[in-house]
Order: sequence, then structure tokens, then C-alpha cells
Amino acid sequence: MSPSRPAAALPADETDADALARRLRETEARFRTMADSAPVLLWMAETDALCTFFNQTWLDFTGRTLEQEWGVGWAEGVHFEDFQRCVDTYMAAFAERRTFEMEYRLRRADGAYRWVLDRGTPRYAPDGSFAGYIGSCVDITDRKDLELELELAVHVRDEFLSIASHELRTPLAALRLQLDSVARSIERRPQEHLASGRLAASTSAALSQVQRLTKLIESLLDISRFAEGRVKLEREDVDLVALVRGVVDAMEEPARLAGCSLALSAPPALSGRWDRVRLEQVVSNLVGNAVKFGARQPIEIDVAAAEGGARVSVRDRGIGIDARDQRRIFGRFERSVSARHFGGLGLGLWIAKQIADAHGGTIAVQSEPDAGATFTLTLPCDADGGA
Amino acid sequence: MTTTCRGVLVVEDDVDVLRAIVQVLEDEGLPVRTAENGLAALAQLRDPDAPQPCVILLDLMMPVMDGWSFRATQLRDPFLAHIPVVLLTADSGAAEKAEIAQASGALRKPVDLRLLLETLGPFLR
Repeated sequence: MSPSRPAAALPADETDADALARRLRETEARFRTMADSAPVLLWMAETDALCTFFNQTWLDFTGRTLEQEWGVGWAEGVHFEDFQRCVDTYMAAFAERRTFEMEYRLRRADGAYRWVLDRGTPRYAPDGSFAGYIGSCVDITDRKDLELELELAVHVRDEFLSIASHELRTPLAALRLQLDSVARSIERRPQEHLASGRLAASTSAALSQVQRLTKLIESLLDISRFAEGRVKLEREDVDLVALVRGVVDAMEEPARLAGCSLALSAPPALSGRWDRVRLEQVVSNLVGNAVKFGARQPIEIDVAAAEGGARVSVRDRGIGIDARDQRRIFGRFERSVSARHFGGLGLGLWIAKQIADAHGGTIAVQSEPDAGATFTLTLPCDADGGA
Repeated sequence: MTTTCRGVLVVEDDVDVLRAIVQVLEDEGLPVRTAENGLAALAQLRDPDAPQPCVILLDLMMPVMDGWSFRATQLRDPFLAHIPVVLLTADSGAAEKAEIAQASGALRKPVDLRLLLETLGPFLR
């Protein structure tokens, strides 16, 4: 080795130093490019837990500058409800140098809070010493929304099942007592029972409960059929007036028992191509509701021709429906009355709406609390309007 | 239990269930009166011409005034509070409901005829 020149002055060393510096810059630039073009929010913290790096994706997301986010500035964007938990999780994990995951709301540049999943992991220098943390965040708002929807759907389903179970038990209760009573009576006084004609009365009463149960179960099955679009209309020539009159006649007795009178006004006939059974379902539901909620007041049913179609309206003078509930009652499992007072699946109007829609028609309500309600079903006369 | 009480008051809004219960009780020779909701039941109980029942069979879910409201009102009335009540419910948790309502018993629908008579029996001596 020649002792005549100091090593630092050698062009060879400078070139090496330059080359090293250049390679470091290139590596840095490559890292930056990669970090800034990553579709996730990236951050890095130093050994003192202060964050010193946020990639461009993060800065674009929050709409803030690196200076603003630097250190603990980033925490200003965390939703106040999540803030404490977020800070606690981070600091606890940092102290133990372990990986952590946390979900919190972070404010986006447009002011909206988005749920993010933040995952941080400790990083180490080549010599094995702790160098701080590196982490990433992904926007999971859509997943959270779906989770919430699912939770709500499960809750609605469970409530429905509970109400349905309740509703089914009532006709079952009557049926069971009727049959138990017959059995007991036959056991004790067989001749008397058969002779009194009570057997006929009991059988008839029991059959009527079976019918009630069957209808209820059909309603339950209807939900899934309609929801999955499995209902096909079977159109035929139907005289709407005759159909409505049939329903009114069938509802005569229940209406009388409830103290409501039924009055029908209609033209001699009104024909169209509709699904007879489904239409009967709708009209029965409307009249049934009027009787149930009609508070012993008269009910008026009106059938008329209307603009290339037909219109059926059912008007009661009962408890009425407030404006907010009017929008909800056509939803599935919705009722505008307390479950503690009125039984019912809350399906009737939803099904009615599905049937009306399938025909290309509409169903609407006009009402005010304590001033009764008028439900109007409109149907186009021919098959052009619907499924 | 006063010696001037008479039979059962059945408070139930479902017409078919009510009729079936009435039939069963009358078959046993028990005097029965009925009310379609809590309010109607209170009216009857407060009627000076109507004999007080020895026990009230009370449905929980009814329009106008449900079983809970009726029971609360009954318990606050010194003239009515003493009348024993047996609950009728389509929901589960009959025993818990009986406890909350301070009822002498609770029957779950569909109710067993024998169980019904056994439960009401002690009050109808």
C-alpha cells in the first residue's frame, strides 16, 4: 500500500461513495414509487411510536399533508368514538412489539368517515434492533355495511319467527281445546254427546281452525315465494265485481262479530285478465285489515273502472295510520301497531303490494290517525302491465 | 278467597280460543264470564251488579288494553287486587311472566285441557 496519498482523496473512493449514494437514492425512489402506488394506506412509525411516513395513497385519502399527519397528527382524523380504543391498542402493542389489528373510522378528504382495518407490525434493522413499526390500512366500510345489513336481517327474521310462532299458536290453542273437549265429553257421556249434535258443531269448529292455520302457513310460505320471484300470475278472465262481492260475503260474519258493517258499491260487472286467487288474497287482506283496525265503524268498499283499468278501494273509520308508518307498512314484517296489542304477521300488505306490482298495478294508502284509512288498489285491465 | 266469588272471568281477544275455553269450563259446570280485552275486563269487575270471579284467566296480547296493563291496573285497585290471576300466553317464558305479573300461574298456548282445569281448580272450590 502506497503511503503517499490520503485514501479520501482517491477518485476511486469518491466514485464508490457516489455509486453507493446513487444506489441508495435509487432504492429509496423505488421504495417510494412502490409505496405511493400501493392501493393501500401505508404508514411507518419510529421507535418512539411517532409516525414519520405516510404514503401518497394515505395522504390522498385523508386530503392532508405529510406535515399535518406527522407524529400523532394522523390521530386527528380518527372518529372520536374510536379514538381512545385506537390509541390504547396501538400503544399497548407498540410497548410489547407485537403485531396488531384494529378497526376504526378515519376521516376521508371529503369529510366522510370510513371504516378502516389497520394492521401494524414491528420492523427491525439488519442488525436485529427494533426500528419502529410499519402498517397498512384498508377501507372496509362496504364490508361493515353488509355486516350491519346482515345483523338487521337476522333480527327481522327472528322477530318474524317469534311473531309467526305466536300467531300459529292461537288457532292451535282453539283446535286443541275443541278436540280435547270432544274426547272428554265422549269419554264421560258417550250417548249424550253423539245425540246432542255437539259432535257436528265441534267438528265444524275444529275444521275452521285447521283452515285458519292453513291460511296462516300459506302466508308464511308466500314470503319466500314472493321474495325469490317464484310467483307466477295465472291470468284468466275475472269479473272483479263478482270477486269482491265474494270476499265481502265471506267477511260478513267476522265483520259482524267485530261490530263493523260492510257496504259495497260497484257497477254490475268489471272484467279483466288477472290472477283470481291472488286478487282474492289482496282484497281479503284489505277488508280483513279494515275489520281488524276499524274500531267498530262502518267499512265502505268501492269498485270502479278507472283509466284503462279498475280500482278497488276499502275505507274504514278506525284507528288510522300516521304518515311515517304509511311508508313502512308495505314493507316485509312491518306493522304500524304495537306487537303487544295486535297479532298478525305484518305480511299482508307486503304480499298485496307484490301482487299489485306483478299485475302492473299499484296499491296506496290515505290515512290520518284516528280518522280511518283508505286503501286503493289499481289494476290495468289487460296483460300488458306485468309479469 | 271470599265466599261471594263466582266462577271464572276469561279475558281473551281471540274469538275462537275464547269460545273453546268457555265450552270447556261450562262442560265442567263452572260459571264463566268473558271479556275481550283488559278494558272490558275492568269494566266488568267494577260493575256492582256482576259477581266477582274466583279467578281470572288472562291472555297477555290483546288490543285496547293488554294483559300486562290490566294486571298493573288491577293490582293498584284495592277492591280488585286480591282476585287471583292465571296467565295465558303464546310465548315461551310462562313461568317468568307469571313471576313478573305476580300471577298464580301461567299456561302456554296451545293449552292442555287437563292442565287448564287443574290450574284453575284450587280457586273454584
